[in-house]
Amino acid sequence: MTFVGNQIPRHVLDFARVSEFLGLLQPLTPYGRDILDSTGFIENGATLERLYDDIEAAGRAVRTLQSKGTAFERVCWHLGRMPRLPSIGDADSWGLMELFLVKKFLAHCKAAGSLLDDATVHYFGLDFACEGLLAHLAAGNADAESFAITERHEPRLAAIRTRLSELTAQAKTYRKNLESRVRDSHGLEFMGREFLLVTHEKGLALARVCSEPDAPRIEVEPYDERYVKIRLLPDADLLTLEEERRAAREMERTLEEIVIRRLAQETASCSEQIERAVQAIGRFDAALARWTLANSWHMTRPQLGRAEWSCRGGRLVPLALECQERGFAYVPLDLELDKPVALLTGSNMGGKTCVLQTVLFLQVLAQTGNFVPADSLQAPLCAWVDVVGSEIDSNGARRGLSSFGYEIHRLTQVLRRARSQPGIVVFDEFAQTTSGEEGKAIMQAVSEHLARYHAVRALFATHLACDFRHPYIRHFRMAGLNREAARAALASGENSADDTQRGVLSSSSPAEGSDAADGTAPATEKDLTERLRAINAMMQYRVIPAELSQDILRSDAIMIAELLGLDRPVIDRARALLEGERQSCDPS
Amino acid sequence: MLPASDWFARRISLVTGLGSGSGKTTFTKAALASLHRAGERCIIISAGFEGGTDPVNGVSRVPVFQVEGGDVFLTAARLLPLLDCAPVIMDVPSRTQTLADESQQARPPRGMSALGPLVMVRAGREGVALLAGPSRNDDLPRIIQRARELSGISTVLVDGSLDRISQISALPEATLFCSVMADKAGWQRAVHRMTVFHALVTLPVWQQQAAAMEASVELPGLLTSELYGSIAANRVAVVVDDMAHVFLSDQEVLALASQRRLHVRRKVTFGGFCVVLRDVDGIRFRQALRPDVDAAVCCWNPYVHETPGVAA
Repeated sequence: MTFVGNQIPRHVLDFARVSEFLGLLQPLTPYGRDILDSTGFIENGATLERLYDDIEAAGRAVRTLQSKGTAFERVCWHLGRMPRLPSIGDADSWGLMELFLVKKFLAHCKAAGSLLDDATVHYFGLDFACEGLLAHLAAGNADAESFAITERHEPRLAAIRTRLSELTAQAKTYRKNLESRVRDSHGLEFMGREFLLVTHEKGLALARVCSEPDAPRIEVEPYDERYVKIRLLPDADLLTLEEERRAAREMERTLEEIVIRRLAQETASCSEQIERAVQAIGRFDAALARWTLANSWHMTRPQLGRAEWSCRGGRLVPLALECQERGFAYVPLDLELDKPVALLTGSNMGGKTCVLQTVLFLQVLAQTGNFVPADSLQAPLCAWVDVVGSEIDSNGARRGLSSFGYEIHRLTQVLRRARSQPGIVVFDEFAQTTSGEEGKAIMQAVSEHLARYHAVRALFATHLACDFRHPYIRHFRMAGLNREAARAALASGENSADDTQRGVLSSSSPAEGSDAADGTAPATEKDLTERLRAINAMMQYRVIPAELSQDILRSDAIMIAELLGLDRPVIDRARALLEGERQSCDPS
Repeated sequence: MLPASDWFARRISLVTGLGSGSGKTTFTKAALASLHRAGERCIIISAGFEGGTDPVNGVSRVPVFQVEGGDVFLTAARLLPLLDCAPVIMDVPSRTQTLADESQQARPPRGMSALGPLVMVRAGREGVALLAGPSRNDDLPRIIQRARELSGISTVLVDGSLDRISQISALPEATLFCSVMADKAGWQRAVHRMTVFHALVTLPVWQQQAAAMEASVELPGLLTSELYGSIAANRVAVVVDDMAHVFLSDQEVLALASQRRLHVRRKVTFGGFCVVLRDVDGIRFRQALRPDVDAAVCCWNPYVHETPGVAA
């Protein structure tokens, strides 16, 4: 299976949580799985449009099937039963197993195709072209789920098998008679066992009796101090029967071999049709898996090849699911990136990183041939996507670099690509690991540099005070914490008579000497969840245009820290320090 | 005595053995003969090779069973030409939905035996079956489930691997049988091992409410010697998933039983011991067994015409 598109860097997949989501794709055949596994980041617009068309065609097929009772379930059942075929190039060395796999595949391929409407069959190329081969393989077999060489494959087998059955039955009867003679004469019951252990005395007595003419022949072997092993021996008649059975079996095997060779050759001669069927089934199955996912998550067909990047109601599904599980609110993303560079500021825990993740998540899904979980997505066709941040490590690729060094190294790679190819890059807290002053300078320089590349969209999430203007740079901020609500919640938490309520929302103020005073008593998981729930309820996860004012510098860090339960003395001191700094900066 | 067919009918029976040549395949064959006499058809599975047979030269050590038409068994693709029971192929687990979903990346690969891909076969007529078993214990449940679905047969005999009671974890609903061979030189050791094995299969099930009553330690994984040594002395009860999670020496198991209480979360259904004595007096052997262990013997050598200790 040829890989389509480019490999998506592991750190991008991890950051954007794409693999988590694409893990929900459930193809029913190994061929659909192969196609999905070998699809990378596709730059070719026509290829992507064809994949989107496939999804829509699969959707139409499903709707038609669903209008016909259980037809959809039956198609899925047949797809799920298709085995992985052996290599037809090795047909010379095939045996029963390989023929079983071919027959099973063809039988289910035909059955699935017969349930689909003509338009779908025609669209995916599911016309069944191996009728003759399937008929030959299935000859005399009861169902699609099993395979044996039958008399219909080779008529000469009929006589041989009849003879074999007769000989087997005769031998069985002969042995039973032998056993019953021993039972009658010596009270020994073999009951289908190959041998019996009897006492030495009994064994010797048997040996004496059985040496007489017309007595059953037995073999006596030593076993231990108490027992001997006795085995009934075939007489000349039984040996003759066995010999004849062996010869018949040998003939049967020879004929079976001939049938196997013939069917294998016939299969090899149909290799093109089989290959086409495999491709068509794989394509239909992959499209069906993508459609099922799209249908489950209300996904829409992306519009690629646009200059702007714009989405309405974009959802980072893994995060939305997480929020749902924890009872938190999730707010879909509305965002328009109409200029090469966008800078996004806002509160801590305000959702900046999630915006970056969502942008990459949607773009990667779109360019891997999937619909996107958004009300709409218009996006450029990119040659690459990337993410830069001190926390983003590409499979341990730091190679001794510091956090800052690694970011710069990654930035160098991104700038090199940006020069020549359209792409999207997001920067998560870029240059945060160096001094604020120099970090801001680097940030501004990088932004201005990237703003020259109009085929690139760069989105920075930052707390740095990037209060500069540029015609190709747009400023956004997260709507952030509802401060009034937060203040009210903190105040009510402080004043609450209810200890639990006070414990949830107020800062810790541990008594001196208690465990918590030296930080050894961590917040419980439940406590943390409650605090996160409170922050979630007060946070406005919307991206809004930012004015170049003091507003974009606010991170609400102290208030968030307070909501998270940081010790009261630390909060008070931080507040005093900040207030002092603001007053000293105030020219009045 | 031939074991009774109703011990095995319409259930999964897993036969394991204490030591090499303990007679587990012999016992499984005896069980199959008994079922055939009762007119039952079976699914027969061999789980692994004793001592790891060479895949090329070890064919002669493949378990050979006499099957009736309608029996279902697991073999390897390369053994198919050697079958004289008119094989009807029912499944190739590594290439169908039985295991293929996981077989792509799995290491070791799924649905494979030491002799190559596994093939599920229905015998078209009476004849010889050469068995091959999955290399991975975790293939067993899916293969058995598929065999039952495809054949409609509910009786399953698993000729288990030597000393691999871990297979019981993969088949929690199976009834476990244990074959033991005792000879003149090693019968006392056999008695000792039966005692330990019996202690394991009869471990009490942990009652969650008991956790509040006594100091306990619930282990998520295996109980190894190292781990056992690290358990605080005040922990009276030790809890593991099932007997297959106890990886202690025989001495350690008995020491644990005397000093603490060992519990399991999931109890094993124990069918009994099948004991084969060679040059050992049956009465003496039974006297050496603890009464509860002796009572757990379901079958003395199934090929002997009398019961040791009973017959003259």
